[in-house]
Amino acid sequence: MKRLFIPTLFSAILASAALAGPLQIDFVNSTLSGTAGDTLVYTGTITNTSLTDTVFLTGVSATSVSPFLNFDTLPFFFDAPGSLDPGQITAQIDLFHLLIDPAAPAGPFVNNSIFILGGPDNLSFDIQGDATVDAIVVSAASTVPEPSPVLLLFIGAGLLALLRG
Amino acid sequence: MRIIHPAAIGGSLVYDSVRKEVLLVGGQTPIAEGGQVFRDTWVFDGNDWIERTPVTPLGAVPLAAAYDPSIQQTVVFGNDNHIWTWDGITWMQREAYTGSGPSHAVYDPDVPGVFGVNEDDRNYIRLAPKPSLVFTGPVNISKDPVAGAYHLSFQLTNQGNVPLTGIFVPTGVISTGASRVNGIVNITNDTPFPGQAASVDVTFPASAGPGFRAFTVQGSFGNRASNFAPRFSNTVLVNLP
Repeated sequence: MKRLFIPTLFSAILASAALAGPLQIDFVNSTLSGTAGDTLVYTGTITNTSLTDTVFLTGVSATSVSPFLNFDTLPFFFDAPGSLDPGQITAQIDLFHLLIDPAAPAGPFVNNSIFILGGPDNLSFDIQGDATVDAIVVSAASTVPEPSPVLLLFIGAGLLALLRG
Repeated sequence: MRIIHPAAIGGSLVYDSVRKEVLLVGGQTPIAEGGQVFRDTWVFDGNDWIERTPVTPLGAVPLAAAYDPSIQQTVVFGNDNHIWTWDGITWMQREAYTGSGPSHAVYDPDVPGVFGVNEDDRNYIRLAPKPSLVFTGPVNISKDPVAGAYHLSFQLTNQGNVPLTGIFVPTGVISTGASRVNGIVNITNDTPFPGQAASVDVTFPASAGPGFRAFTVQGSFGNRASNFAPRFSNTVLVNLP
């Protein structure tokens, strides 16, 4: 095959804008899995990496990549502080919830996007930090819990007691 | 095994790991047998080949196809200079491309996206869509002096890499603790391209305020009849006078 790797044009492809901000989002786990109907709770910390500026936290925007995934961004305001001083880091908080539709097919759903909004005052809604999270929907059949050995031991002991009684 | 698909030459065969199906598009009969070009869509479920409808729309001939697991869709380069996607249910026409189109395609997880190549000195890359609809302020708040209703206006900006077709917001919500008040939503420019914004107005009854409230708008965009209708949720703090 000739000229396989000659870099030339590709077309009609739109690159996403690079975003930056002083807030750093660190998830406990940015990839969570669950079955259809589950609610995934993404937790983590937010750090104000600015050495000079206080950042007010005024909003959170989230977009999923699938109609089977519904973000709930309201929990952010249950835990998040109103502002972060320079260098301050939050405690580990609930950042948002992701509800898996009961009809969701199994599979990976990657690159769901998150933006934290804010600025120098509580009237600012500029992007201060962004991240992506992944959700893996597993089939219910593969997650049916097996009876624990301890439970089986108790059941066996009970049956034995009944037989002897 | 019973194979009923008639294509004998070419065509693209991809495996849909979510639906656990093999998809066959394109191809043609040998030239000696007439060289008939196929535009139909077939899946193999492990036992039989099944023809799916609709066939590739608008008469486009599939040139090359690859399964993109990041969006759970098969991406097809059509000879109509458009990219098409198959979500297991229907075909959707996506963005246009220039050139004669690739003859081979494969998913590249490092892009991530579908990489295609041909002998026309061109490589083709179809980035995996990354939809992002982000609240952009400021929030303009006014209060009807008579009825006391609140009017909130703001923008939702497309920060992603694909056009967002038909933003749909069923309602806006003001939350105060456990209580919530629904508002009526009106959207202007509901199909923003990357970098563009949709203007949104929400009207709440007087019972929504006054004071600091959490204001949430949730909805979807894209073709809600297909499986590519991502959802978004935006919550911001507002101070209702």
